[in-house]
Amino acid sequence: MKIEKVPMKGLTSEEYEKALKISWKPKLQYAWDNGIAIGKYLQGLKEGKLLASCCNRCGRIMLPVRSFCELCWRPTDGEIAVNDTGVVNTFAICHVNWDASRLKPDEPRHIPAVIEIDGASKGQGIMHVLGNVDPAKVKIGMKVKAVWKPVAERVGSIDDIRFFEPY
Amino acid sequence: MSFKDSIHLNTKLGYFEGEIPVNYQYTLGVAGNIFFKTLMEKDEFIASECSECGTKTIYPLIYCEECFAPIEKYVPIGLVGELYSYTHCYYDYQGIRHEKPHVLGLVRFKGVQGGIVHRIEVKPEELKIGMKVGAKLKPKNERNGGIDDIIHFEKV
Amino acid sequence: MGYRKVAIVGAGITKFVRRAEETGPEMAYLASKMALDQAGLKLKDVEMITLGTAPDAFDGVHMKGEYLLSGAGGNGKQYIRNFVGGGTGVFAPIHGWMHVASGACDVCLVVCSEKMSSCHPHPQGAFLTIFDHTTEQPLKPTLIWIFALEMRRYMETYGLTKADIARVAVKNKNNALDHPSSQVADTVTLEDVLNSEVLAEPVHRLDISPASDGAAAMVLVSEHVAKRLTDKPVWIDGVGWNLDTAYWATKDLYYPRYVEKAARMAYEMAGITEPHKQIQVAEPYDPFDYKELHHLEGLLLCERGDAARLTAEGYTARTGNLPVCPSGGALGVGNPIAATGLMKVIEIFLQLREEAGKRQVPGKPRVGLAQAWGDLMQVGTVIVLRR
Repeated sequence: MKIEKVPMKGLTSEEYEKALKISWKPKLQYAWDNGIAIGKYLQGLKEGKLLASCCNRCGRIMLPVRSFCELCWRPTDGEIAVNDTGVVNTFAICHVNWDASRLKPDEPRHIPAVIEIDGASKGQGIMHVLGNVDPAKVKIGMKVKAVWKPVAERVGSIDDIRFFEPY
Repeated sequence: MSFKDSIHLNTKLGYFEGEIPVNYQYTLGVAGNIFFKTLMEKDEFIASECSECGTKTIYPLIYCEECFAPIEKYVPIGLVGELYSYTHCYYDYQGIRHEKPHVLGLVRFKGVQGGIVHRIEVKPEELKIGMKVGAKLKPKNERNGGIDDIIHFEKV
Repeated sequence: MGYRKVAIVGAGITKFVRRAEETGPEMAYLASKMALDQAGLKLKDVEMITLGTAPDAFDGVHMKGEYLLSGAGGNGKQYIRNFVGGGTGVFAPIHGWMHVASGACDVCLVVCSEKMSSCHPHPQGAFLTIFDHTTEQPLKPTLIWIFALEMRRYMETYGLTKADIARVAVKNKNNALDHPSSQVADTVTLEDVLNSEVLAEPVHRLDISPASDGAAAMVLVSEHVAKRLTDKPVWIDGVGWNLDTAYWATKDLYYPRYVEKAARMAYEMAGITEPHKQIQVAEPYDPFDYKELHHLEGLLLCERGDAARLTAEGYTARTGNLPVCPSGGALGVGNPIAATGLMKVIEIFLQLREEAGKRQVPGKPRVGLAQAWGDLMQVGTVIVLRR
């Protein structure tokens, strides 16, 4: 048995433009419930606090808040506020939007990062973005601190932290 | 065991809104192209015919669903079929009420598997399962290779 | 362990392309028919079918499994769709193996098909909701973020450079020149990869596999059927799969533990105690170049942090001690998600039969492995084949 010739040849961009096609633009809109645990997490953010869940069995302090410990598979035992500082575990400097379109030269680059939060168990990171920093100077292990929106502008969203900046 | 908290006041429930921002362009496919190009240019429905077991299928396929042989033959079957079933639709897909009900039907063709679902324009008192109906097509210059090239099926 | 032996006796594949004229069911048919013809079987001989395909939102067809059914030969048969995200392509033959190994049937057709070109402006749009809707989506993440984050952590942990990683793209894109299905095979050099556009530092454009349309299929049979059909059966000796939590930011991004767990399951079943000595050809999943290195380590085929050095020394070249992605992989052949994983299993099947043509690795390999990966750094699927 040999596989030397395979079917299908694909369309060039031109052929694709000309090909008969049917278009559909669905309206896929959702309202996702926060649920109880994340609801508390968001309420904490509104109050300028980063909340973490505790599990008394494994002793972990976990972010974000969750109803159950996924390792012990039992309900968590309450929340505590951890620091709004942390350490950059990893980061990227992104030059493209999700649709593969490119950011314009003068647009600020997105700098997503995984930040291990101080006061939570080791390795408990959250994804956020870095700001107020020269992208070329970002380093793994850098200490960063949350920059909060003014109280009046907070709505109970992860965006209530505008970004993390070095301190 | 259960979670230690619950929310009993539903006004306290928050939510986050978002969307999946995509749209789609579907190519008609190899058999779909043959069907809609023939309809556009020659005013004819085309069925696929299996050279192994003889099964004819509409909409045509590039393979026989029965015996999986590749299709080598596409045959014209005219524009007239039989009304296999129908329904009166009072609402459109967004839940908006039509001024008068639309009749939607499944039209089948003699000796051919499958069928075409489309709008049926027949006087209510004449509407009957088994009646002969034919496709009324848009003028040639208005066709663009889709199911709307057929305006509706009507009594013949 | 009481499993029946399961053999692969036929395979089929389409070309992987940017935009196919063919519909999903038409693509599924072309691959399925080819696999049955190669096995010398008719559709009526097939008892059960398992179909692997990525999320419905790619093709823009809800209930895609049912939509693809007739092209995959499922009409009026025991047909089921399987799905574990990007790991689906290797899970599909594992699922087929379950059907035959359990005795539920003697002949099972495994089909994977993907048509990503339907999705505009970019298939990534369908991926956005993979992130947690409340704690992550407001940050407007894009899929490439997490790969860039994982790649940087991997580089940092082992002190690797971008060149160390780009060598995988060079190898695979060049290997793919010999694959009839390939979409983006190219004679690229290390400089080409390093000088290609930066998308999300450290990820460059040529570090990434393309979005593709394509299909692949494979016929699995029980031992007594295999003996009737061929004197060159390839046996599925071990299968493994493992999934990790969606709290991806809390994991060690430099090492895929779930891949290791999947591999250990497959190795135990296959009686493999020293994988780096016993596996003779491997097809780990390579949607990004660093992923191949990551996965070689997770599969225990080399020491942690050592995959880049081995690649630089030619150890993973087609003529090396352990040929890795001799097909050209997702980076070279293309990446129609589920079909890519099955393409990799097909490559090992052909290599073990010494029927891989120009891609044939030397040394008459007897044991090979394919692996797929997916989602938020969560899924590992592994299959071990033996001739």
